[in-house]
Amino acid sequence: MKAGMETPSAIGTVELATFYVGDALCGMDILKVQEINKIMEMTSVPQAPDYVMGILNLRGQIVTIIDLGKKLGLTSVGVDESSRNIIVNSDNEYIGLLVSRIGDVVQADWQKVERPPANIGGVQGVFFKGVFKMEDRLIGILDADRVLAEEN
Amino acid sequence: MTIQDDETLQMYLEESLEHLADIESDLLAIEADGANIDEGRVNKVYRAAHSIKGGAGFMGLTNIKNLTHEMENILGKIRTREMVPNPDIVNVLLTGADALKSLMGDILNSNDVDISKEVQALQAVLEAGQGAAGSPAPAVPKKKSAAKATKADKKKADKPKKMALAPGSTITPSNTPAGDAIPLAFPDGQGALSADTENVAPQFEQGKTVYLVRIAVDRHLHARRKTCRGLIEDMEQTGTILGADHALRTAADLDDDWVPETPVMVFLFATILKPSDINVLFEIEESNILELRPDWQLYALDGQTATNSLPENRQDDANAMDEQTTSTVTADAPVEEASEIALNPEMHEPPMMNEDDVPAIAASPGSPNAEGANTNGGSEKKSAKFEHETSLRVHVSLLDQLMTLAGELVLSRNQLLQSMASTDSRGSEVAGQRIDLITSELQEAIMLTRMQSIGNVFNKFPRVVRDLSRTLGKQVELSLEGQDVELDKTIIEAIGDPLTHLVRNAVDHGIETPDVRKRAGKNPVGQVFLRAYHEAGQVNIEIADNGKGLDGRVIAAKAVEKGLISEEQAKVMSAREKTNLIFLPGFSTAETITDVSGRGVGMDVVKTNLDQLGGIIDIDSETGKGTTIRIKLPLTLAIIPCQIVITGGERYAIPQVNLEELLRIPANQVSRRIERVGNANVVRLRGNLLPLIRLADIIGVPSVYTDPSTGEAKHDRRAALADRRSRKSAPVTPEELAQDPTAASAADENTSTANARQGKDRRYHAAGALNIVVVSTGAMKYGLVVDHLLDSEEIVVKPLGRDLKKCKGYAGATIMGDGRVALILDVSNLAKMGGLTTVESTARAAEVAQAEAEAQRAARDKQSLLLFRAADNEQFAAPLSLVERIEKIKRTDIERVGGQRVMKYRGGSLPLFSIDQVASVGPMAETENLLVIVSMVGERELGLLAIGPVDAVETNLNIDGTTLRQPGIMGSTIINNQTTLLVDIYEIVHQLNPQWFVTAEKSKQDPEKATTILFAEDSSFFRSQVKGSMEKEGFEVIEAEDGQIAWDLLHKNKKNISLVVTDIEMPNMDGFTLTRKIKESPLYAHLPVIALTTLAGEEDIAKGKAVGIDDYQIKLDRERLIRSIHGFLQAAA
Repeated sequence: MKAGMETPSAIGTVELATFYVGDALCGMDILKVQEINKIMEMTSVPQAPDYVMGILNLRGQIVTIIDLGKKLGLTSVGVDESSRNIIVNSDNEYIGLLVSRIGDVVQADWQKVERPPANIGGVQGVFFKGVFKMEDRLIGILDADRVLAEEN
Repeated sequence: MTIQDDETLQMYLEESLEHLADIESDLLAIEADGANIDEGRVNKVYRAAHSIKGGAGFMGLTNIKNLTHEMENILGKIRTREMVPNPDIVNVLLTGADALKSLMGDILNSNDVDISKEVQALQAVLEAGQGAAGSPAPAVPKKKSAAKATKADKKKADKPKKMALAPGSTITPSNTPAGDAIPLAFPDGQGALSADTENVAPQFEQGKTVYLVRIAVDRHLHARRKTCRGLIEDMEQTGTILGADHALRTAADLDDDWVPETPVMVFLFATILKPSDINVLFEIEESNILELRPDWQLYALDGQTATNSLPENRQDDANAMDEQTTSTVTADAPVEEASEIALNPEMHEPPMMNEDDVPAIAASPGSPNAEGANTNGGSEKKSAKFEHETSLRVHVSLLDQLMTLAGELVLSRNQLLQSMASTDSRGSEVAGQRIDLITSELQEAIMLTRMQSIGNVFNKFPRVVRDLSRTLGKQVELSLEGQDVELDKTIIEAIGDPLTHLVRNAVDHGIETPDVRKRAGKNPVGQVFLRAYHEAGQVNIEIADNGKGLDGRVIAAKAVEKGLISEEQAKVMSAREKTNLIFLPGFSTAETITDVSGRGVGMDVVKTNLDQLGGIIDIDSETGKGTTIRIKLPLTLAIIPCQIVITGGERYAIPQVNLEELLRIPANQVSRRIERVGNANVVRLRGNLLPLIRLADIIGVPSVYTDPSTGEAKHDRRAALADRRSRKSAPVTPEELAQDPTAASAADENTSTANARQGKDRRYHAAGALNIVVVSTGAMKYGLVVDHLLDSEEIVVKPLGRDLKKCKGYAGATIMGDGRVALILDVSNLAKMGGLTTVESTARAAEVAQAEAEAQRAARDKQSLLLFRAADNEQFAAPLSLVERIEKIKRTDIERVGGQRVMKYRGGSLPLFSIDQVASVGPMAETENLLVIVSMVGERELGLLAIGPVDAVETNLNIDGTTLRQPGIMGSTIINNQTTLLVDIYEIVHQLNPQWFVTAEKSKQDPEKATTILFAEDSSFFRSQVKGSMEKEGFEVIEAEDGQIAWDLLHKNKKNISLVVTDIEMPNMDGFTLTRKIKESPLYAHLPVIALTTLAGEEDIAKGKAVGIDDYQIKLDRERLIRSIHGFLQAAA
């Protein structure tokens, strides 16, 4: 499965946890997702990069919450009733991605996943592993590690 | 092969390392003792070496065994006083200990390490030592033996063979080979035995031949139907048994069927039988008999030097004790003849230089070490280093405690679950409290398991200093203090290197060479002082030397030269800041590198290391006097106490280690105490200017304050901390600074700008006060202005995620009690971010410091008084020093019991008095709310009833002791333009409850009847007061109006005076001078001097101590003064 994730041309299916960043529908391998919560009691971190919403306590672990909208170069996601944190484990560290709202879990066939275009709804294509076409819409499969890679 | 199993090895290792740690310090002590040997100590080292050796033999650690064996030999000589431990000998021993340590560091590969150098050095010492020993009788054989022993040892390099000189003690099973024991054994390493030169040498002189014989009980005796007893009988008839490996008794003592515990008996046997005839007696293979010749070498019976043979049979003896340390076993040596390995002081040395001494080298199968290595089983095993830090010794009682606590925790959890299920809020509250308690205890207990004494680190320094000073030709004395101070294991491990670096620095750069020191008029022996102590939940370590100190200017110049700071920066730096520049990265350079302390890394690395530990380092140096480096460390890394503050609505934690004090500047003082110096806001704090930064500004959050009227949080719009009316660094006269409010307000008006707000200062409200956390980063102190101060809490440090690594202002995060996260501030980085510079060296700072000093001087003769009233129109004052506390009570709280007024106070009854009971003053006001001024008289607490308003004032007492004098009132003075009566609490109590004083009075009568006290005091009021109280106690008092008069009176009455009580501030001659004169004079130096002050500043106390003042007492605290006088008189008697 993991190997399958590497390239869109791989064989097999993957379950995608889908979510909205603003209006853009994105997906992520559900196995990457540690949990989804709506703990919004964040502590803001002055002087942090602007995409950092704050930090919160996840059962004794300090988790940095990242505004996925800002991180992807879109508008800020903002905290409201529907917004959620998707906690992912990246590089042995828990990071929370703040998304506008959570969508369904979608079975995606890798064979139907296409290479990402240079730009998906204003987001750079490099952040995506591919695009999965559903009957009515497109899901951009987010490369979490890429998104969360340290900025230099 | 011989390595039993990891666990055994681990145990051996731990134990040996413990021994080793002791060995080093003991060796140094032995060196210090010189010829004056402390036998206990030598024995201790000897035993330590011996245990290591024994274990090594058991474990098959040949190298370790050989090394310890050599050390043991030398120690034996020292023990028997045949060798005087001099630095050279100790050096070699220390080198040996070092080698041992490194062998243990990689114990699985220890047998492959070349230790020939160390062994040679040890042998050389033994040889030289024996040559020089020259102890009378056995000198000749010993000399010879020594020389030969070394040769023999060298030969053994290729032939693992025994050579031993054993102690002169009685024949014992040699598990405690005493003294100069050099063991004997067969070439295969078995049949080990110790013999003593003094025992053996005479046999040679008598023309006898000495043999080392081993006899297998089963094969040699029983097979031939011989008994052990018979054998011993035979031997006794033909010669003398000099030694044996078992508890030897004479044949007469033995039963016929006696057998030794070991399957093989080894004897050292002297007889007239020649080698060609000896076997007639034993009838065994000749390989089991060796001849010990006067050259102390063992020879085979055919006259060949005993050689070892090919190692063909590996030993698999089930008996672990018999398992050999080496796999090289003589071909014809029966396996079952292995003797006790722990007793086998075998030596394997690598090939040595002089082949002439090694006739049989060709026959040697090669280095036994290599052999050992080959059989050491698997190179893969060797690559796995033994990590001995992975385990920790914990006292069983502590484990038991942990277990108990764990049990309690489980019980409380059950309780909690149960009460939660039954929604019993009371029950869960109780359970919650219990869990709270248990958690703290558990935390403490777990912490204890991790605590190790800093002595583990300190103990290596005597050696470091000793070696270093030898190398550098300096004389350095190291004193250690506080080795028992305990720190978390991780910290202990981590501070070793930084501390070593600092100690080396102190010796290398700090202490001068003896001649330089002599020229500077110092003791040629330099001092390095290492001290650890607890303070405020932290551990402080001080490394001080009395060497040449650091020159701030040179350092600053160098830093400028290297471009680390600009010249402008350097100019405004204080001396202390300059000194601290050595912590700048890149400061340490080739120039400062010596082969000792310079390693290309400098103090910056030390600082970085300590920073990582959450520690603080600070350096204080005086050119020519020495350098003191202070390190503050948290007790543990994981849980640290922190001050919690709020800024911009978020909580932040400031580690206690950085915290100096908390400061709150009331709104109406802001304009007076906050000023601007250059671009910096500063606050005046006890004569210092402290730079301020606003946390909100640095981290870029809006500062928030709570509107006092509406209670809502509002953004603080203040752009600057300093008020517009605050002083901008303008010239200031000291008088203005004497905190005179009118002067200050005048200054305010001068500097206030045209658009200054009119009317009431809006900063009048308490909410407008400035909350300042005074923090220290080692080099500098500054004030961090925050919105609110909360409690101090113990927090658990959690790391921040990678996205926040760039935020330098935070050291981590923690989770607060409510589950939310708070950031931990990194105060040193905050200072950098705030571009903070100290203002210590500015002109303004100097002014302020001077003003403060003057203010203090002025305050020295001031008395702190508590002002209060009993009736509305009369103002009273009592010395503040006598007041313990003030309680607010209701009139109804007063009970009348047994004709006395009392109130419940701290679980007891507090007797209450009012002034009008004794003095004719206005009657106690009939108000509902009363105050009780609690003070101590004797050992009792009592309360004086009063009403407000109370105030504390400091005043120069101009007391009129006559006009309004009456019982209970000692006099009057004018305070705040009002006549104020000074209350004499003692007198009031004395009048009302004279029985309280009976016991005290009885005791005073007889012994000090003739005691005369010289009392110097310029104020007549105090003179009469204090004199009165001393006379009441039965002392004779001689009064003096100033120091000079006192000095003259002292001369006149020298015989009678047994104690001096003096004021500090006096005309003509002050108390300090008087004391110095007294203490310098041989006639009076013995007299105790008690200084009376009104306000004892720390500085004064230090100064007083320096001139010899024995005690400080506060003027109107009669009780304590009298107690102190009694104390000194008793001590004198």
